[in-house]
Amino acid sequence: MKLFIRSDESGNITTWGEGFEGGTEVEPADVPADWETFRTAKYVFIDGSLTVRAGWTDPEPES
Amino acid sequence: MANSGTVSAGSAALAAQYNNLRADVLSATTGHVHDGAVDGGNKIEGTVLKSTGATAGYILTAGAGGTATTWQAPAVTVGVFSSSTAVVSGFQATAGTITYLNSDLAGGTGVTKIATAASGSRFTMISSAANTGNGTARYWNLGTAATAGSVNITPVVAGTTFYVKVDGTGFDTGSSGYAFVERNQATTTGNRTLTVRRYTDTLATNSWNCTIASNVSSANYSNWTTAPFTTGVFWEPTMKIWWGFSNSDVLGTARLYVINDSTGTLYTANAYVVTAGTFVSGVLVPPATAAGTGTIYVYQTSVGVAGWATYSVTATSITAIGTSVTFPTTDTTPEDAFLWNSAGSVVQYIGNNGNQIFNSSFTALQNNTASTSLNPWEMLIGGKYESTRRLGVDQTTDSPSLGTATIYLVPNYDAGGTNVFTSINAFQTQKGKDVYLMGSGSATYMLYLEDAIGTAISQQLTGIGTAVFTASTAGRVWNTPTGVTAIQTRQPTASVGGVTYLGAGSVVAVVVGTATGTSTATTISLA
Repeated sequence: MKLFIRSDESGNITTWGEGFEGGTEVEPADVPADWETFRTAKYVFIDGSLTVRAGWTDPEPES
Repeated sequence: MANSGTVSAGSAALAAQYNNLRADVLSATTGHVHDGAVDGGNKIEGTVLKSTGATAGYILTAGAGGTATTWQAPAVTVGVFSSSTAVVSGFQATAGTITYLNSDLAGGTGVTKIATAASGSRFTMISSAANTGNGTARYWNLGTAATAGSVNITPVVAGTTFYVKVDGTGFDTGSSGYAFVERNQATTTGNRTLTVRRYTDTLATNSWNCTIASNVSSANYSNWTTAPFTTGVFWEPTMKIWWGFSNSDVLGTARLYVINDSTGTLYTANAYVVTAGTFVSGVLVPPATAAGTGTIYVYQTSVGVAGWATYSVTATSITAIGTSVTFPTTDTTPEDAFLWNSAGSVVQYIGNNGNQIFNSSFTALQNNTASTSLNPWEMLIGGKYESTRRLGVDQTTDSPSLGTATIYLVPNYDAGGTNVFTSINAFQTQKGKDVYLMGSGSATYMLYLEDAIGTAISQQLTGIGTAVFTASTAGRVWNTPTGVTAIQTRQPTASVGGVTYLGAGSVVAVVVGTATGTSTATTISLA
């Protein structure tokens, strides 16, 4: 699967998916394993890289 | 010589041979067909004329054996509804605790029309899950029980407790895709999001996701019912955009949004910035060409801020034009708006005490604020546009009890023609649903689907081909489509259902289901 991302100036991800015009492709090796779970809440997209959002804390496991 | 004996060039024919040849050609019992096949001495059927028992596809028929000379036309069956039913199972989502199938709840349009030349008619069903579950979208080819495709929609934001509610759909006939809306919140992280998610028509590829609201904070937030929401996502094929309205929460600001189908880029504009209860809706009049500019007419459904606003919209922009027309001051409950035709036609707004009609230049053609015939729950249902006439159904009952449906015809509607009403009693319907007008002109039929478990009934309407609607019940035909029983068109206690008017071909898809059980999909069409 190809992952394309578009973000705003702050790195907040505005559009992502498998294929659309104008998106930046992320190399599969650079896609975090938990991307599908957290996506836009956890990650920001800066300089072509997915980076964990500052101050992010993973939620507690479901009880 | 025998009837079929070989004759050489130059051979003389005796009288007996000549008679045999005549019999070979003309006799209904000993004559031969002339296509080389083994025959029974009968005539060859033409492509149009049939010699026995035609019921369809032939203009004229003849008696058996071809000897009868009485020709007759096959029975006419036009107007009788036929149905095709496929019992389908597996509506359950694959993960999470199922609360319901989202076909007729909270503005969801879980059953969506889809028709492509390559694969025929399809319908989709979107199920929602609560408490750590995923939303699931599936589609079926009409008439086939097996699921043709499905996709689990993983929540955008995860948390200890999150809710996913996938509602709102569209279908792109130009590039074959769906757009779903996902509402989500996570109490742990505080994130609440609203995302439009596009998939290809086979649900195999998630083309793009576009978050139209995120990290929403609201003191009024309590659960998913107050999470960000949208009116649904609508497809506009000329400009190839998805559009709709979103609210950050039920008490927040309403925004108009447009998403470019190719790029997944979001464009927004505030639709109204008002106080509690804001909610807006509207209609889009498309341009003639892809590069043109369309107009979105926005109206507000909350009380207190009356008026229409207009916006110019292209595939890459939204520009506010302004508020041009106000609601009637006596109208306290705006109901709905309709676009009667595509570009160049009219927009109609229905309120509880007003009935406004505009042309595409937003010139008011009719502003009926004093009609006593239009009751507080008037709705246009299954409306039809025929030449200069409008034909609609006006239901008076908002609850699933016996009520009255009124058929009305408005000649010269664009010019502000006068409504002509004809009352038809004893309809058991939900306001705004379940009555569909099919066919056209004098061959218009009304399909009525009971609100509770019951039967589907069709009624032929006569006299509507003329300027004045015929009030007489004579000539109306009631029938129950074969095999269509137990149609459930509204969500009762433990089951769900949905009816989608497919438009072209006058087809209605009906889905009946229980929360975790099997469901039935049925199409009904004019034979």
